[in-house]
Amino acid sequence: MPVGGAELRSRLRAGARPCWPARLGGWLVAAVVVVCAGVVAPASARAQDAVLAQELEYRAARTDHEAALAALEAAQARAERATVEIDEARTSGDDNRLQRAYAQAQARWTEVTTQDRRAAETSQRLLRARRALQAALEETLEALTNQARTPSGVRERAELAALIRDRYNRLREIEAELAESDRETFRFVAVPEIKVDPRDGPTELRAKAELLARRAAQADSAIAAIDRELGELARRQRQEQAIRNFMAGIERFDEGVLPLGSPGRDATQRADRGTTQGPDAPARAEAGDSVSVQPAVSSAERISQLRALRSRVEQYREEVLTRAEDFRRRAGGRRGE
Amino acid sequence: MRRRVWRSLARAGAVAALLCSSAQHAEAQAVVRDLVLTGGFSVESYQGRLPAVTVPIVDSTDRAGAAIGQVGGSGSIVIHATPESELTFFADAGLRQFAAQGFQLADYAPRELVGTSQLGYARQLSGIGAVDVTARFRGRRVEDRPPMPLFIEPGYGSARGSARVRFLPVSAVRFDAALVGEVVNYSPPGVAPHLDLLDRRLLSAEAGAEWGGEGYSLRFYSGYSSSSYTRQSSFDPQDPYRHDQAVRVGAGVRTQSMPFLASLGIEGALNRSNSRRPEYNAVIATTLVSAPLPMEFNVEFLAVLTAKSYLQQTPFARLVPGEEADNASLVFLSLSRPLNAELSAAVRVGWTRAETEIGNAYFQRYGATVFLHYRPGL
Repeated sequence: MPVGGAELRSRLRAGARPCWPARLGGWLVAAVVVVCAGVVAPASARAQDAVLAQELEYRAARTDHEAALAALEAAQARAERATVEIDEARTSGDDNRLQRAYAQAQARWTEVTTQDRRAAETSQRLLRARRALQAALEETLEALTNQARTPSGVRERAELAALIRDRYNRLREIEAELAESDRETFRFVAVPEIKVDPRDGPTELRAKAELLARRAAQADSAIAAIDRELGELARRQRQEQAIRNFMAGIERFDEGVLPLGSPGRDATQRADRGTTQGPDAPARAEAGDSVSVQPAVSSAERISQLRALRSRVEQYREEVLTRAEDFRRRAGGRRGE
Repeated sequence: MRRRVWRSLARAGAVAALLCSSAQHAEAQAVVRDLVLTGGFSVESYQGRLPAVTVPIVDSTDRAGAAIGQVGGSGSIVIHATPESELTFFADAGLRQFAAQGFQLADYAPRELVGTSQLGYARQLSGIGAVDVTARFRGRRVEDRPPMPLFIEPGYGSARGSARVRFLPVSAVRFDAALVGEVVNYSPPGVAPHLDLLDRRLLSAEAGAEWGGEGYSLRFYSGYSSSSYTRQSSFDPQDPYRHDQAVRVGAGVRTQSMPFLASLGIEGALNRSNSRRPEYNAVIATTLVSAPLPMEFNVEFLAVLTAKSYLQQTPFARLVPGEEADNASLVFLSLSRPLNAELSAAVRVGWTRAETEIGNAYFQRYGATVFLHYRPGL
């Protein structure tokens, strides 16, 4: 006679050791249960396991994305302050401070770009997790619905109905989030610290709009300063290229080498003797003709960096103006309330 | 000989290209920098019916002209770059085709083919300064070389290695030292085997001190060079091959106060040899100026003026092959302007007054060139 589970547990609690046929019988029962669970367990149970796994994955992805967004906001705030510093440095007339401000702003906006990329990655992961969870929920609902069609007791039917209702609600939540994420194109969100407070009246909203407009004016000023710097760099680059072309035109066919002169000593090399760098050193270094670790950034690279910075500041300016307009509109609306 | 030179240059180029390629794959951070393609058309005039030992043919004309078309390109690849170091490969190549006019004996159509490759490594040395090390290979081939006065530098292959250390400033003075080694192998055609006499080896050292900052600098320098002409006789049985030693002392000032760039230099050279014939003293003044003009024009000016006096007077050809014809002057003036973001144009005029093998005998060259420079992807 096989030993039942309750009896087995009571024997163990009492410290009695079951005889080997009883132990064998217990294992056989357990094995049969496991096999049956694997073979004939309802599909809904497996689907619910999948839902649990996907729910965990989804929560992890959402936590990561929220952290990335918070970091992005912090980076944007730092970049915004760096942009304002360009304007202040330009107003102060301190050229060194202005150059430092450019470098600082470039670094801060690079940080924003990096963080932006990170947030985009976590956003993609979150989207994938949402879709996987949606698929798992749909599968569960289908399995539970099929199970509900089979004859069963009142209590079991009530449990199934509760489960179906809960999974259906969750599916609707996920579908709503998916619809929202489809509309969202990972927008650059500027000036995070200036937001509409539900307690704000028209006066507060207009003040915030003015503050934003001032930020936009500062961004305008920063863009103008960047444009001036770009103009100067473009002029310098033209000059460097002109010198490089000029020297290359003489050197290439040995026109600077005098009759029977040493090929190693041509006129252009003599022209460089005035300095270890030479008047065309930046041009030559940029061309790779004379290797130098100074300057670290060539005119072309600096122009590229400044163009990227300008694009970012311009984007920031547009965002601030849009936000200011929104605040004014809300202020107008509340006045009419 | 010529084949050997070209083969060695081709091998050097292939090694450099392979190095670049493998480095690109290894680090995937190679950056092509300043790729420039150039086309040009020149009109040149040459005056002076003078003999030249290196040119086997003699023509009776004392005035010749040439229409010249040229194409060329250059660019560099930054193979590896960190804030402390940089490895760069630079290449330059060009083809120039002449259509010569004015010769009595024949119509000449000389063609020049040139190529340069350079591998450079620069590194900051903690507590010392910075060091630049370069290896440069250059090849040049000339076909249908005409007689004087249309002088074209003969073909050669050269390998040059250099190292320069720029020390950290000491009391606002920046010291530097450089070492250069060079081997030049001329590639004579069958009719002018004596061009081999130009083969030479050079070893030189230079030290300098520089004052100034971003806007201007003043540099004094001194150098010593030793040249061996292993195929050239000194006419001294005890020391049969020519060996020169030269000492140079110079100063240069550079201004870089934007938008004006200028470099002015003066150098004195004393050349002494175990052959008395090429011993001389020389003074060389150099000017290089670049300045922007209205409407995005830019002007560049280069002038090298030389005065030389020989220690010994000789009745025969003084500058036999292997001699340095430093007693020459040249002036180039260029006006350039960008046409669009990738294309720029320049007009250059040039003048050269140079000494031939006969001491104190000069020929002159006048030329005007129109260039188009294309920089893709700017």
